[in-house]
Amino acid sequence: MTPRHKAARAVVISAIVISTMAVGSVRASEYEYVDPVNDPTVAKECSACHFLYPPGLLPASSWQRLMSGLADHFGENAELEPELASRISLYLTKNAARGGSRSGAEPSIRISEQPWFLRKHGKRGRISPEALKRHGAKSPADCKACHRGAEKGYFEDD
Amino acid sequence: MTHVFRIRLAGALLLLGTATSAVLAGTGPAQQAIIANFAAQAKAADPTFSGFSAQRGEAFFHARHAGGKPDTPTCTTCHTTNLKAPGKTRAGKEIAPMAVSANPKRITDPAEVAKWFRRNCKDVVGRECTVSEKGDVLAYLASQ
Repeated sequence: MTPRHKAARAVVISAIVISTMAVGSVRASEYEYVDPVNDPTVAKECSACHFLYPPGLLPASSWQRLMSGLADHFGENAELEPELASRISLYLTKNAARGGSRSGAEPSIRISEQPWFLRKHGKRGRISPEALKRHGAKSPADCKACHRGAEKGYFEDD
Repeated sequence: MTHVFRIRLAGALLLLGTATSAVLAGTGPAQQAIIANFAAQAKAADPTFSGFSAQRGEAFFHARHAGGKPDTPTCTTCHTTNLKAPGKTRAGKEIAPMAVSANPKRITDPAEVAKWFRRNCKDVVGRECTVSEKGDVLAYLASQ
């Protein structure tokens, strides 16, 4: 192997290492756009009770864990027929955020506990109880209280 | 046949007619088919089954149940006591009215009916509802 080949290999390896390190990175562009759900069945089932969260806000491992625990879905029973649940699970994992939790750790199923979420909202008390109250948000899960374009996938600061 | 008896019979028939039409008032073939299917199941489980009761359904819908989750003790926690008005989910999303007269789409999809009874009975009552409980509630919603 020539030094040039070695260098190329090193670049490839670092690229792999860097992409693996992007643990749980949200699938968002620089202008804070995340693809909304574009499957009518997923949209119907996942928005009957709450805001339709884009699949890119959680890594696949979190979606898998969430979809296998619908009998206790954040304290509510959200059970689906198994066939329907698998279809939805497939869509969510296919369109999930890149990366995932570190091996061994149980992935959090809360968007508001994802590292990128905490990083983006930790500044200037953006999700402090006072800030939530000011925006009329029920909880940090209430995206569109602050992000008016959230339903269309836009999460830039308002 | 005496005159008095004839009047009583007419009254009884009228009452029966009113009760039946009250349950099915404003309902279309889709609602009727779904309720008929529940009635067939109830009859299969209990040969003495004599029909669903909107009144029993009303009592069940408004009752506080002890077996479910403390923050959702009754159907009206989310659906409110006004069935013709929208309700609100725990997460704050609007729920279309439960009364068929206010929401003609109510009780038109058997899969939706099964899904929501399964979820909500477990959360509110703490178990799956029986066929007669479900049928009574459907009769109540259809009568509203």
